[in-house]
Amino acid sequence: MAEVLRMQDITKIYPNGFMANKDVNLVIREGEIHALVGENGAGKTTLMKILFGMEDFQGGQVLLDGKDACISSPLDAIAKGIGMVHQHFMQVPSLSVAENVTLGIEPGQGLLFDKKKAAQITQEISDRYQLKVNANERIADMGVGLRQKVEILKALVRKCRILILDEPTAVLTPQETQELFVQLKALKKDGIAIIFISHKLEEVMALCDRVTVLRAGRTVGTDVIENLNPTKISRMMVGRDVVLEIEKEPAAPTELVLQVEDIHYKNAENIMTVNGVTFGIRRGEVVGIAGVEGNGQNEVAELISGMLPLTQGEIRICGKSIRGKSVRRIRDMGMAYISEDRMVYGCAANLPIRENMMADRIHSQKYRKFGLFIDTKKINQDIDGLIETFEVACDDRAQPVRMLSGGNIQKVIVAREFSSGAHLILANQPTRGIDVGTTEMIRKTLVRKAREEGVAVLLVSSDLNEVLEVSDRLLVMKDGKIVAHFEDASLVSEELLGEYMLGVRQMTSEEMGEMV
Amino acid sequence: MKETRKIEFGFEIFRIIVALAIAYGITLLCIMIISDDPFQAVYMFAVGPFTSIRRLGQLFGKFIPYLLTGAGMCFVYASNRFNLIGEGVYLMSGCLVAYVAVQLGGAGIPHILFVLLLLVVGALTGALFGSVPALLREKMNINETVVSIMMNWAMLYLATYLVKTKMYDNSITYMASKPIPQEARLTALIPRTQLHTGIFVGIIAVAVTALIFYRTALGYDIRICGANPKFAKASGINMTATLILAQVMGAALAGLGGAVDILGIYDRYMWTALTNMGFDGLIVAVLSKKNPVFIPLGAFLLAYMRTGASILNYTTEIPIEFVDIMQAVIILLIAAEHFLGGFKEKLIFRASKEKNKEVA
Amino acid sequence: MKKLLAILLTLAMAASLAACGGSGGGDKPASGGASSGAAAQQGASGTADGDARSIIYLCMNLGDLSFNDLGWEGSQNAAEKYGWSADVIELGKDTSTYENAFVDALDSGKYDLVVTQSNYGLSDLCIKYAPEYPEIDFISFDMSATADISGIDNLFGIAFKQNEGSFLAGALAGKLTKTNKIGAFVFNDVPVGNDFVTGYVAGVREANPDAEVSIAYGGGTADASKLQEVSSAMFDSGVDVIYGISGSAYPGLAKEATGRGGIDSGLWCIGVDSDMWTVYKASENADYADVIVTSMKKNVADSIVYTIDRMVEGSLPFGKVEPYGITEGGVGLADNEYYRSKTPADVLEYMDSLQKDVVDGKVKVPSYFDFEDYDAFVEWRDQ
Repeated sequence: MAEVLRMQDITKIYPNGFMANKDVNLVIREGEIHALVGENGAGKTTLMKILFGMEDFQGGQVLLDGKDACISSPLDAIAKGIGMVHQHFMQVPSLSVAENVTLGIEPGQGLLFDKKKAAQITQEISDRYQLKVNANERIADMGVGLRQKVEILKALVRKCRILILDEPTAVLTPQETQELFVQLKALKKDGIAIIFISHKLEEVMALCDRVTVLRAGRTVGTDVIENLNPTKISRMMVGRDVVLEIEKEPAAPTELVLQVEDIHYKNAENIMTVNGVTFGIRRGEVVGIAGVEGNGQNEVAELISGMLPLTQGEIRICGKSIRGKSVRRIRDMGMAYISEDRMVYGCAANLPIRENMMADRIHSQKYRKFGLFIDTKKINQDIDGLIETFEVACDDRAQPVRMLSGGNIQKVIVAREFSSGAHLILANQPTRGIDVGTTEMIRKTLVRKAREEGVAVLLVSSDLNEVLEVSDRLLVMKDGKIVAHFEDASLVSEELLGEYMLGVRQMTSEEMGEMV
Repeated sequence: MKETRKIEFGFEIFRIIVALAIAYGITLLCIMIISDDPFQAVYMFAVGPFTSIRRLGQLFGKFIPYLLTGAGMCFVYASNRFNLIGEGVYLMSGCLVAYVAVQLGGAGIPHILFVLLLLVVGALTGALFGSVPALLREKMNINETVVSIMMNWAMLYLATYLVKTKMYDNSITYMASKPIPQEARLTALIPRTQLHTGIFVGIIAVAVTALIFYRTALGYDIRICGANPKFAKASGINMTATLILAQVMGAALAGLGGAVDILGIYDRYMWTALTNMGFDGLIVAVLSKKNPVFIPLGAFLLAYMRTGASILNYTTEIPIEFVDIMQAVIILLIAAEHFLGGFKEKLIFRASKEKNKEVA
Repeated sequence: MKKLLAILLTLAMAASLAACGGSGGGDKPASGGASSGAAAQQGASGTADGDARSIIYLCMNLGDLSFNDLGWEGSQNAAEKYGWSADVIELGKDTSTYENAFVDALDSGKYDLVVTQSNYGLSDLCIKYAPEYPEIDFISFDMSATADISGIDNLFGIAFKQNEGSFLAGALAGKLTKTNKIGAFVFNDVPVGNDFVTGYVAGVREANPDAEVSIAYGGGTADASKLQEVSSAMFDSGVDVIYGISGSAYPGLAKEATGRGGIDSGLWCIGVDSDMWTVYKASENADYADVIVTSMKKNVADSIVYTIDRMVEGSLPFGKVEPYGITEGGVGLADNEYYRSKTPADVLEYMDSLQKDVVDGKVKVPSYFDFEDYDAFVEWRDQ
């Protein structure tokens, strides 16, 4: 098969000095599905952004059909036959599929838009590849799976020869995923090369022809699928066999720390995202909440932390209600919070590590001097201690957080939250998108905190492996409600958990039992 | 990574020098075209402020209020609020200080006490008027920029009204207050220059600002709120109180600036238009990158340019409007975050590559 | 420091040479404060006798078609007349720099006669620095007649009796009106503006106690469209004579009155500062001229020349602010053919006798500067 794309010795350095790609090589052939795998932060997305003209690069070259191609912008990339389906869809919800698909290349004369023609073009391609999309439907009325198809349609209508899919299955149900695979294989038959970015090795094994593995911004290797198996790939990805299992002793929960009673939350769009959730956490145990993202888990965490106002129901920490209390007061009651989006809620990127680690405790009497001032000596001592304990790779405490890598930023955050002396730790997606080493450290610390210090831990995560390994008890949320409760998370299989998450199964309240 | 920080810092300095060079280049080109004696003009602009003690004094006359408004705007800018009230309170405070000075003049209050009292009046005026946009913003979420700009005009007209009705002086034909009594004025450190004792007030204010920024919990709060309000909220920082306090303190410093300026270099209160000193304070804060330690540098740079421009204006035939344009070019180039950004990235890229080579 | 500056300067020069392809060049300028403010050297090549003097005129900004420009015109005219030189310094809007610029000019040693307005503290600067520079003479115009400068024997202040001239304008308006409604627009609510108003209102009350005067204030800018708006509203409310006390905004008033038919329709305008009928007649807006029955002239330029004449003669009483009224030619109504032809004979007769009474001191014209405070003026104005 002919080679359509060659990315040679690509090197990309971000303005903060972070080297995202270093001499990366990627060769794509006509009509193949090529998996690009690697951990979060391995440089996959950056490489694809370079290919799609969204990022410039400092070294190497991109060859299309053997010729040097200078791709200056996404528009240029599209013109050269490259299409990209982003994790977040770029669509106008109020417009129809056809209007979205033909946006920017509208058929018609002059300023007039030929709606019929647009629908016809769209429908034709949808039918040819059996994408099952109705060209006249409004985006807002469609499900996530179909909206993804619209993104693919957009690329196809623009006659793409290379289609990039950035973690396309992350938002899909298993059934939808299967359907997508069938359609992708049809595209492949037509000679379209597909670059498939994923973490899910089973999917890679099932779908792809060849695999390129990236690790820490470098190419580890490319091989045909026949020579590989999931263990081999994961070894290439992390450079060692990942210890995915967390060893822990059985929990011995004592008194209740967190009580959540029938809470509800209506968001700005007036949708009831949390709809009657009740559970409790005791000292010494880790309770996990699993669920496909966007089913209310994040809101539950934010309600408990005080980031969202509690309007209906009751939340108590150590027996005291948090209703109407500020985040400050709730933190004083013994809550620590690792938020979902670390760059938005977890740190101030432009400020030094010191300020970031002190943010929740700068008013503490411990750091007071002469009444008005802060004791910088004590602060520096403590910060240096935290940097050492949590092995934050940095120059010194004065380095702005933005210059650190994702994993180290998360280390700064957990160092703060784990050292605040809390009775209750809310860990909301604590290891999303960070390296294995830090992930392991964070998971182990969560368990250790519960076991050794008697902290009550709430772990919200969409990483099944994480919730299953770390949690003692496990809750599953779907559509703002708890649909399953497992007394012992270690007895649950990923498959079973998946069925609850996707709403295939649901427990009755008797099956769930007392959730404290 | 340490390399990155060094490059970033060195680059800042380099960038300012290049910005100055380009601006002076453009200026020079224009002067060549419109001036009969371009060298004299350039000389006056660049070196003029240092050619006599009095001209140096004029530079200080600007430098002193810039220290205060710069520190004030640093509070506002660091908390990431675009509250421009500093402009209005500067003038309002000047007006009220002049009023109180005229009223209490001749009452036999000792010089030091009198001046201290007037400085307090200035700071309080700033805090009082400055609290309005701050409260409206933090309590009711009304845009602080709109409120402060509106209030600036309101304060201008209020001050004008006060001058007209309460400080009437029939020995002059223009709009100004009665003369400020001698015992209320800040004394010149060097006679017949504008270098007056207000410089101590300015230095103290900058030092206090730096102390608050880096040695108090409030300073941490302000910087965190300014850097990332969502993070501040999640960390349990009382944002409402912090941001109100930051803006009020900023306005108080701007008010102090107005008081010092009026008592330092004016015979009467005579501002019938916005003074631009508040906006200049914002420029100083931008030049010093929200870091109070750099305020004296930023204030000096701006004062130097403004003085050079003024001297250029009154010693040559270059029109004053042109002088304003030149200043704008320089400030724009210095303030522009991404000016020469590509060059910086290249430097970092090279350093990073070399480092990786060493590792490999 | 000096070295660094020298390097900087050299670099700057090098850059300019490169940019301009080698044009210019020249020696490094000498250091020091004295500089060649070389604007408009007038008549310097004239008589080279020992008495040749060098005038420096300081103002805010030229180009206002009014006060700033008229002062410069007067200084230039005087310089031309005597073969002296005259320079101007525009101080700009930043009042904090005035004192330095002022003293810089005095220290430059190039000038021995300073002419300034009184605005923005310039008269204060004259009062402050005249005693320190006995070799330099100072003339400050538009000062307040109540200012006390006695003892400063190298400073002379000119106060214009705009109230006196405006008094005549008011009396004329009182006689011309048919509706007994009279208007005035003032450029800004500042003391000198209110001195115009005081005279005008007093004049109306003198000639026609039944007439009602409405006063509108501007915001200090040359805003012709605002004056047009104001005059439109005034005419609508029945006002038939308007005194536009704003030279630069005057076209707004003239345009509105012209559009409504002007004097033939019974609508009269009174001009200000210069003889506006003559000025407009000669301008591209000649048709506007016919609505201006006369003007209250404030002869800034002529007054400066007159003052310098007296100085040359040796009869100028330094250390004094002298009011320039009708007698001195400082103010007065423009007595042109148009005024004579349009004004009814009985009114002309009345005006001539009234002017005589004012000159003779038989009629006392009140001044804004006589009021205790602003509120007292407002009370009197609105009574």
